[in-house]
Amino acid sequence: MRPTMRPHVWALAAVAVLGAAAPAAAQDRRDEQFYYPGRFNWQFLKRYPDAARLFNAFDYGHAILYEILLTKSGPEADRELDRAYRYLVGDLLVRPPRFAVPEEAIEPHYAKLVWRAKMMFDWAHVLHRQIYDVYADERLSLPAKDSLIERITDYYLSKKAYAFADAPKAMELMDDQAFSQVFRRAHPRFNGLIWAYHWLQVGLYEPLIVYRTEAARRSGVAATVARFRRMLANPPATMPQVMPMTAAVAPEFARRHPRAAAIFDNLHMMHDIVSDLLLADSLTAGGKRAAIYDQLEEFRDSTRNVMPLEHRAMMGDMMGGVDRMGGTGIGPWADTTTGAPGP
Amino acid sequence: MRPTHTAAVLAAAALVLSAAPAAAQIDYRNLDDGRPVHTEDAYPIERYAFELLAPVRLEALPGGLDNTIVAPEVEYGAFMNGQVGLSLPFARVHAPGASDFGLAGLRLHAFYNFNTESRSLPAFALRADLALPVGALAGDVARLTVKGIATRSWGLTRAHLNAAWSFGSENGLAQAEAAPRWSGSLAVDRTLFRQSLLLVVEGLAEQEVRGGPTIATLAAGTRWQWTPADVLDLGLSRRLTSSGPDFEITVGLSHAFALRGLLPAGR
Repeated sequence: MRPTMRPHVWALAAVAVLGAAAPAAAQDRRDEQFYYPGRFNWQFLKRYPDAARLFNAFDYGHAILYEILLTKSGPEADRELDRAYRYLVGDLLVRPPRFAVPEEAIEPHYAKLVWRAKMMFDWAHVLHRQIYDVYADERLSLPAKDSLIERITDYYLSKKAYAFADAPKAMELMDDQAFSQVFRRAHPRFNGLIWAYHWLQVGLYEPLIVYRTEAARRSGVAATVARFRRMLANPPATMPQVMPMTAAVAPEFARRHPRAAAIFDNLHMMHDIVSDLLLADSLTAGGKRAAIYDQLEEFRDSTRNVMPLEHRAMMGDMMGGVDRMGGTGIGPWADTTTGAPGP
Repeated sequence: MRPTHTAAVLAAAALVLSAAPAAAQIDYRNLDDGRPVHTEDAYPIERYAFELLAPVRLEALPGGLDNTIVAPEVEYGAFMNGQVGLSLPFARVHAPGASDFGLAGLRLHAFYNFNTESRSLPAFALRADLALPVGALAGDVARLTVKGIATRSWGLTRAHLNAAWSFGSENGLAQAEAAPRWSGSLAVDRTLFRQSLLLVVEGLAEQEVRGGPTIATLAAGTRWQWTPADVLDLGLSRRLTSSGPDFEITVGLSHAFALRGLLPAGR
């Protein structure tokens, strides 16, 4: 072979090697997609930085939880979870990062095992964040905000392979499967922290919708965040005792945007399911991947195991009342006329 | 190309930068080619995303030569797990007693990622660059470069391996930004997530033309998330061999956005 051919040969060999590495069934695709563009983006971070940055810490909390549950077990897992909890509550939630945390760097084993799960959570978290941004944009009227949120939801759902169903899935999927409720029983404090995250993630919509002036919205958001921080005061007693449901915690938001409310409840149920499955000692890593992917398929499907909307509206009462979920996003702890924090 | 043309390009870029909506908040982890080191990671920009890059590089070469290169670039996530891009490198090539300024070619590229990293495999990607002889400093020949890219991570630390080969005549190459005959590089980066900062070091070896010396350089750089949509980068490079640049400094700004009309739903 002539020397001048060598670069070509090397290049062809590289293509062949890379081609051989093309995804087989066990290989996930990256599949990242940009979110819905518009001037509303980042308004929540701009106007409510203390609240917005908390969600970056929440992302870390979810990520480190999954990494520990996947890679540790027994007393070692207990110690690591305790250390992570103290870091979260004592440091990261006090001084949350300015911008999003690269979760795959915090949960490297988890991300390599179940990339699709990570992507589905990310995609729904983007929807969460964009709805805050819309509600925080003072240039938009309330009807314009509602219309834009529906368009954003359409865009979210258009990425079908990674979108949670926009119909409320049955609670039995979270609570009544063979693996269900293991995590919350084994680690009630960390589970309470996750439910407190989920309470704030939906509860924050209420002051942004209900209050009619920017000043009232600001103090309302501050009150809801203060309520979240009080949940951390005496864990797990002060934390939600059952999973916060959007229709109960944020009834006005759920009434205006039932599809988004269902997506978020499905997202939060799936978070709990993943925790339970990662904790299952009877499953190998491959078994956990297969089980999680089965559940993801279930939660993408809006045609089966769904509950009627009117049934969902009653879930607060059926689960023991909204107070067991942490209360509504605007509760007796806030002055509903001014949005000022209550006692 | 006249300086007024450069100003027009930069003004247009500035206009888009000021008007465009936002992008991902972790773009600081996306190592682009030359931003701030030559090595790039195996992941493209997101589907439907545009990224504008406005890098400036200063090269000090042996013998009193120096180059200044401004290479505005636009990238687009044209398909899932892939991107295409267009770059227009403007260069000022200076030698003792003489200097020249102009466009050093028109660059097109396509990038495709095969897989995200798994427990058993790194992420792999393939990139092809086509340099066309357009401009006063662009030379006379087109050049095709094919690059293989791999990325492996260990939590906050990642390693990236790049290997590239170029095809086409080596006579009449561009006076600046000519793709080397071959190059290989290894970079390791570390994420500081609370500061939204990436630190990277790189070792690179390359041969510019057949029979030429092998050049080895050591580089270090950083990328910092300035705003949710904007990333600043800074890089320094120094030769380890007798040939190659005495040093290189690169400074860049990248901005990501999307256009609503190109989205599949929710327009």
